[in-house]
Amino acid sequence: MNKKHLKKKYTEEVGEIRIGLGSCCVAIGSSKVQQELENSLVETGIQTQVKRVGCVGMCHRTPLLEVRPPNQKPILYDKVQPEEVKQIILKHYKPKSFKKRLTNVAIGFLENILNDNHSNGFIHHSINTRDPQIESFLGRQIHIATEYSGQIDPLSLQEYRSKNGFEALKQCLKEYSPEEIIENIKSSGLRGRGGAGFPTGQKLQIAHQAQDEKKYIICNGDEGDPGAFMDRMILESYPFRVIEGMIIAAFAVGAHEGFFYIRVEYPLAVERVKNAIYQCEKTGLLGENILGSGFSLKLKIFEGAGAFVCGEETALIASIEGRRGMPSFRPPYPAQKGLWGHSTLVNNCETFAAVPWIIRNGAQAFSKLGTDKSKGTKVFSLAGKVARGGLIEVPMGMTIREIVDEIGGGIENGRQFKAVQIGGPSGGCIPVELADTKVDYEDLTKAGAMMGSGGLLVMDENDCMVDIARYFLTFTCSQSCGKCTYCRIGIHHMLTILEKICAGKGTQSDLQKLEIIAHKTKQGSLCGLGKTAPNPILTTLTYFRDEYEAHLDGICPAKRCRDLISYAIDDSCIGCTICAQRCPVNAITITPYQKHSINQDLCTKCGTCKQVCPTESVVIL
Amino acid sequence: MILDKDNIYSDIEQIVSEIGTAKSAVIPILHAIQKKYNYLPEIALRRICDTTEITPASITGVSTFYTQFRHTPVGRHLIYMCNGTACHIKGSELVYDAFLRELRIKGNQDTDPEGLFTLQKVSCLGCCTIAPVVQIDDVTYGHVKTNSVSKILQDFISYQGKKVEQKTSEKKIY
Repeated sequence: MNKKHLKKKYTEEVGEIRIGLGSCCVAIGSSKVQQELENSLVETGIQTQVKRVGCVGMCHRTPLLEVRPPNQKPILYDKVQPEEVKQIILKHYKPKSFKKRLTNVAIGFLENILNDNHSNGFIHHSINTRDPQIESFLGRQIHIATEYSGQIDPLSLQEYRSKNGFEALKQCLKEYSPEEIIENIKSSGLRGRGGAGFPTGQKLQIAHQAQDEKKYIICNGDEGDPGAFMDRMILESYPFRVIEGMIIAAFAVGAHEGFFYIRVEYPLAVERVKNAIYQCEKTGLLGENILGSGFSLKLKIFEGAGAFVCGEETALIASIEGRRGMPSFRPPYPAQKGLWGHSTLVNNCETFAAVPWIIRNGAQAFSKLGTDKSKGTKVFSLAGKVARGGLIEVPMGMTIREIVDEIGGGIENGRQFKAVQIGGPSGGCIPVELADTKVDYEDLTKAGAMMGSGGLLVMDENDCMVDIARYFLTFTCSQSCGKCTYCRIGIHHMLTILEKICAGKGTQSDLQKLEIIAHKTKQGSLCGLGKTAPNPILTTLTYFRDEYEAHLDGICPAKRCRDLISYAIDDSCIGCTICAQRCPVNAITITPYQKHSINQDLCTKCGTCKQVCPTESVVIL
Repeated sequence: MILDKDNIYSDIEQIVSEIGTAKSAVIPILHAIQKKYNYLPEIALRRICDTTEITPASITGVSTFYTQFRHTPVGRHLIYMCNGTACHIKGSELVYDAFLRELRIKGNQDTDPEGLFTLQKVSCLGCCTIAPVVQIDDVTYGHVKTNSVSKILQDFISYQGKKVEQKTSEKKIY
């Protein structure tokens, strides 16, 4: 007790430096920054605490470093390079001993003389939350599932508890009956965040009412949608909150055993959840007799093996049972008869993450947000051609345009906003004309798309919609489990037609065929995969039919489909020979100081010349 | 890696004793085998059938259903080329081709002639904001361009060198 107290006091005195360490941050170089930070602190003898925090959401500005000196305002640095770290710290902290201070000054001076790179000084990117760009990125967001984003150490149980963590659980175990919890969730209007939007309270009720001596609870973290990463971020950054939500739900339905089903492609999420479960077990938050309430729950992790269809709950259950992940007919719903024939509650991890917040703040506070039928907030992974991508949480009812323009800062490089793809392979493309569609389960479905798990991909004028449809069909075709004929053969057939169109060999009748098969596949498939797989085709056919028709004439308006384009060099070429040097197939002859040209017979359309050209003289015809 | 029957048998024994022999253990067991050998050697799969309740039909069915499992050996390092939607619209296809060229992988193969790198497309690595993304073993590279492929491979190889150096120097200290 004493020791803890001392540690806290010590922390306040020295401040702390926060560093975001989600998977994306690490990929961009945060771990190098962290290493440099630790080295510099040892070198200078500065006393402060380095804290690893989860995803801040501002993926477009990583690596992020937040310096919080004692008794001063916190300062956020973005796009930090490892070599800048030392100077950033020295700006806010003084080395402890006089000798160290002196050596630092001397070394810095010598470094500046000897090293030319340092002569311009370092460019630091200190930003604060009043910065208009950051303001508009963060300003309209409401953090519920991602509460305390970028503030807490994902794996510090102590810190999570200091921020009201496990308060909701205590309240539930001590004050509420399972029925009251279910009633609470029902009146909050929370709906499943995995895609289909089934009311969570109702699901809890069905599982609660099931007469079964053994019940299971499963957290669905099998985020198979390409282009979506919120489940990963939530599991990586808020493992304790998801666990808390799961315990509450398990208590409400009477389950004593549970699984985290996590994609094997997310090693960091697996590692952190494992660690969080271990810490909870040690402190009596999981296991037998949780917090002295007599309720017990055991949680295990099950790693998926790369099958998109396993995001569907019956397929997921089949996978845990050790079978091929094939969906089965519902009803009976898993809440009635699921894992090993027992009642099983399956929910997405974002749904579980919202539960503790609802208990703590009341169902009213949650249902106040959002639209008529869609309450609360939704986490989206905003990516693609948007200027400021990242993980965002917005209230339901916000329009797509607001998300793209205000939060995302519009399209990067000043190009034209063309469409958003929402809901991954099950969703559809919403054109810019319909960008005022609200984020709402019903409205999105009406527009032909789907909430899905929350991938929001922004596309600009350089993206070919036929190519996007083909891309998604390639994905669903490879992921169809093969159970239903229409899904297995229908999708393959549609893909063949799309490939034909992309190659410029399509005919008018192909478009009609596409429509017919798409509708039949929707009707003739058992699970969500087949039912929604035609969505990308149907929405693009509805909103971008002119593009399909252009392809029939052998033109790709976005200049994307390889068979319909060719590369050429225009008159602005300065003859620098870089393209010729880099061309992997030697399709460009080196002619110094003269205009180059591309031999079309050899060209593989790899695009390297366009990327390396310093004068942007390579054009696509 | 030369696979010795006795070694495999003892590895399998250990894996099975850790995970269990029930039918439902098939996916965790396959994960463990693949972690060990980077693919699923047939001899190991047969041994699993002999020592557990898992049937050959189940093991074949499951290991061919899930895309993570491989039945053929791979190179020393695995390159995962993300083929997510964000990566696709930012040109991952072109980067994939660039890797094929750089590593001189031809025809239907997926491994370079030296057996050093195996190139594989994956559906999504979940780092969509830094697309296109490539992951080599446990190192992730973002914003990859076709002309940065050779630089990335060099960086990875030098990183591997450093890792080996670190390990040997750690050993020296103890």
